[in-house]
Amino acid sequence: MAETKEIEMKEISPTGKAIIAVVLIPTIAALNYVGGVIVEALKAPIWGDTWGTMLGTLIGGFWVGAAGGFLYNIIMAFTMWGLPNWVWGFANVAVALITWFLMKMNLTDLKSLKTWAAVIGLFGFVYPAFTTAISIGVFGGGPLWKPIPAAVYAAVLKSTGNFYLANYLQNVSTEIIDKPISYAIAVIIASRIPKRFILAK
Amino acid sequence: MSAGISLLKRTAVEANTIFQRLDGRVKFLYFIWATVLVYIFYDPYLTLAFLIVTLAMAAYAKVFKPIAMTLLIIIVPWIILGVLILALPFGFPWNKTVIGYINVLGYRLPVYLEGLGWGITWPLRISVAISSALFFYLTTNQAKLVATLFKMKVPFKAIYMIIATFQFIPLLFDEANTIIQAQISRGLKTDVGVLQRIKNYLAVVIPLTISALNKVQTRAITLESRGFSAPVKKTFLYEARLTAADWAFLGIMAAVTVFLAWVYVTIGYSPVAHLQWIWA
Repeated sequence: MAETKEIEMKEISPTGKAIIAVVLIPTIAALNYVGGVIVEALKAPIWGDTWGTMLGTLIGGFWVGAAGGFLYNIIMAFTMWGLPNWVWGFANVAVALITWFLMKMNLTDLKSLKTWAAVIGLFGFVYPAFTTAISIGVFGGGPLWKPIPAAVYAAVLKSTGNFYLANYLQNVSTEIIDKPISYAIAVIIASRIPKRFILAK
Repeated sequence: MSAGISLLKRTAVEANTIFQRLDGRVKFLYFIWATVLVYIFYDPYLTLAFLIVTLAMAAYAKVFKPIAMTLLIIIVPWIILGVLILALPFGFPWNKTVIGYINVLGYRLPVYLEGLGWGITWPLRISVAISSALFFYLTTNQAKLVATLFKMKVPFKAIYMIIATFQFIPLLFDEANTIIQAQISRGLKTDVGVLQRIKNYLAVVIPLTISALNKVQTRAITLESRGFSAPVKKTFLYEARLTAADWAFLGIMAAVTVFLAWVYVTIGYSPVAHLQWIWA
């Protein structure tokens, strides 16, 4: 009797990781979006729209994080940001890739100097090279409309006359604070999530 | 409430105009077509013409206000900053042609055509992309959107993910609002320093995330119990079909494409403004 009951339970249980991933991916995309809105409400000093991608990678693995981040960009591109902005989806894939790499290298201990060095190096200096290529190739590489990056852009352009360097340093000035803080937020949340939600090995 | 969330909380506007009745695929094609064309040409006047046509259609379809608000928030500050930095002598490397002078704090500064063209054309291109995308989104209801995506051969699971994201955003936003209010009533101070603001952020996003993940499990059970993964042919509430109006709209787009191809070949990529091509 007990055996029959167990078989019935298996038939209705959504144990398949595929179906959980299907629901988790839009949740990650929505968390990215709502995270950005909460930043506005609380006036936190970050963009706050990539920690969902990092969290998705930490709990669901690279593909869940990358798909959630990419979907977020697709939704935003098709509604608020305009079509060309879909290419930022690849930036979210890069964010998921860096997070996955950090996770695989066990660089998730926020008290370790090694973790911070790797996080700042990868998110603060390597990742902006990627975003600079997108911003010049697709958007013409002008100044961002936030005052501090725009000031960095103008100052570098004025002093060096190097268009590419001005764009790169402008991106560094936004990412070097935002992404490490977002990573820390994602790691803290992931550490507090019940184990049954962790799909990533 | 930010303009963004108010926009994504909005569903399609149910007015009975020709644009609401157009097939979703046609409006989606218009969005791609307009965006690609303004990138092929490098002319602010032509780009502005596309923007005006799209806004006029939006006004007729009663979706002008949310689109105009979005452009005001995103594009206008971008143009102001871009023009100020690129058109004035701040080192934009392609600046050559002086078109006039302005006085800033007693300094007489030259205004360059190349920087001015660049600083206006790129944001205008994005504004065409944004307005045509929003035009598609705000004039196509979700049932039609699902049917449109299915007709476009988008995989069923991907369609679910897209539609689910649109549904989750307002739900999560309402929940975040409740959590913020609850935390404030428990003593969370919002007028604090930078570090404390990050801690405040955590105090909101941790319960929000755990609550969202709890719902993931419930949704997965619901989907499975409704046969989401069942290997059968899915049926839809709305069947996407092209009508005479759709074909007429497609015909106008084809005629404009032919005309613009002729303009490109005979006059060039900047037929009105006559800007020099600059490529970073």
